[in-house]
Amino acid sequence: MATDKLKYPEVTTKLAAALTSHDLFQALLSIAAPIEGSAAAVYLVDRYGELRRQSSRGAARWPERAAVIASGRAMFLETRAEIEAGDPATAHAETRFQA
Amino acid sequence: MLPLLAGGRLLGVFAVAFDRARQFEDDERQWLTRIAVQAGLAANRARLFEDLTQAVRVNELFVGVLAHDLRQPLNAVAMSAALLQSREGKDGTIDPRADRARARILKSAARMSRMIDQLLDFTRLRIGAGLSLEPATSELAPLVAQIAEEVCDGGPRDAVAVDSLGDTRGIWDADRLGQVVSNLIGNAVQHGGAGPSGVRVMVDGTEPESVRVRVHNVGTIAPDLLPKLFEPLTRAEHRRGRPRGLGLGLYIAKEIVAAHGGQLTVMSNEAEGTTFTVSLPRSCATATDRPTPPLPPGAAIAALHGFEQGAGPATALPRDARLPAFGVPTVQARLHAIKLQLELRRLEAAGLRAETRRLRDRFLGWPTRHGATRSRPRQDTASGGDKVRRSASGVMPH
Repeated sequence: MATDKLKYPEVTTKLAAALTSHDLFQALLSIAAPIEGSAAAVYLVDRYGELRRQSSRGAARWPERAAVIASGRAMFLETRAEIEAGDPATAHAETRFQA
Repeated sequence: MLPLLAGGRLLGVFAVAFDRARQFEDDERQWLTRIAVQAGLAANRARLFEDLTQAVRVNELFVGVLAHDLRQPLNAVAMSAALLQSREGKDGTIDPRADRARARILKSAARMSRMIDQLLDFTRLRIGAGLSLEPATSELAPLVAQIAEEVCDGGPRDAVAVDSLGDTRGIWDADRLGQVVSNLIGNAVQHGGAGPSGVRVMVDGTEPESVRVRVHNVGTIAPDLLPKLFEPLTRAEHRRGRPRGLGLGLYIAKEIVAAHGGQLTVMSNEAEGTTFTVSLPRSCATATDRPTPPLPPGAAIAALHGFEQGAGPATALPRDARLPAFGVPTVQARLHAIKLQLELRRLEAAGLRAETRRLRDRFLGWPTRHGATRSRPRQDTASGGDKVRRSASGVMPH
């Protein structure tokens, strides 16, 4: 599997050493390439409760994030259809969740 | 897409995209989910760290602004008291009670002024702007003797014994070193033993490359306090007796000595008492030529500096910069001007025309009778030692 190229302790060591948001972005974005990701992005909730993209690597059309936010669980979108199934209307869920 | 959670609260999302559709195996999903948990904790820690850093910076700036703002009314109090003290009653006598009260005001104002100066120095150090040095050829022995006399003012004159050996000349910022010596002798007098010469000061210039100042008193410092003696704001909880300052004096003294490329150390035990030793290289040029380290990215002082200057954020302040973020140059200039006007008015009222003219020539740079102007203005010690220089518009701080 692709994650074989990345050792779990190495990644967690990087994350444990991350003191600032910048460190966190570097640690997370460095995961993308070894698992054959073409792009990666980190979003953080800002002081106003809005989820904003803080750092990214590579270009991608990012799917709707509302489902992740609403469920608080990881989402693995494995087909184009799943990605395109994101309903823009659910974007309002972001605000409700964060409020 | 992986949620970054901490304590059940969503802090962010980490998303990875792939060029083509792909299936995620169970162990891959588990691996990435575990990473997301770790990342959530890291995100929380980063957020707390950044909030804390910001809070500390705001507090430090607040202290600096407050200290600066306190200076103005305090200067007004001190100047007014000084003016009153110099005036006699209508019958030519001075009411001794009023005179004592004025003396107390002046003494308290001077003490407050020192505390404010310490707060401003502390702020400068904490925000990374560094202490400014103005090195010039100085001789340490007379400086130390003068300061010992000042510290003993109003008390027994033999409370501090000063000795010197060898050549005590060097290139230093005498005002700043005076601050160090004043702090050390003041502490020694406060905590030292009773009786004549309870405090001994030795200025040792026998070494070719360095000069040492040793300040000794018979009192001792608690062993648990020694390791953190030079840390800021630790005095109130630990030092004995009634607090007289902010607990910043030794911290600033050590920073001043370090800025000269020297060292400030302390040794204290029951048998030998307490000795502070200042070791200074003969010239602080090496230390002062070091480039100022850049301010931390996004430092509030840089932003304020840029704002004040109408330019982008500064990456570093010059070594001799005052705190432009606090408007110090402008306000100090105004204070100097007000003080000068008061002094001139007082002299004119007293009919001392020659003295008035001399002061005008000296501070405002007007041509003297011989057509010359002073190239080196005197130091104004009444307002925290800020130097003034001539400008087209009058006096302004250096």
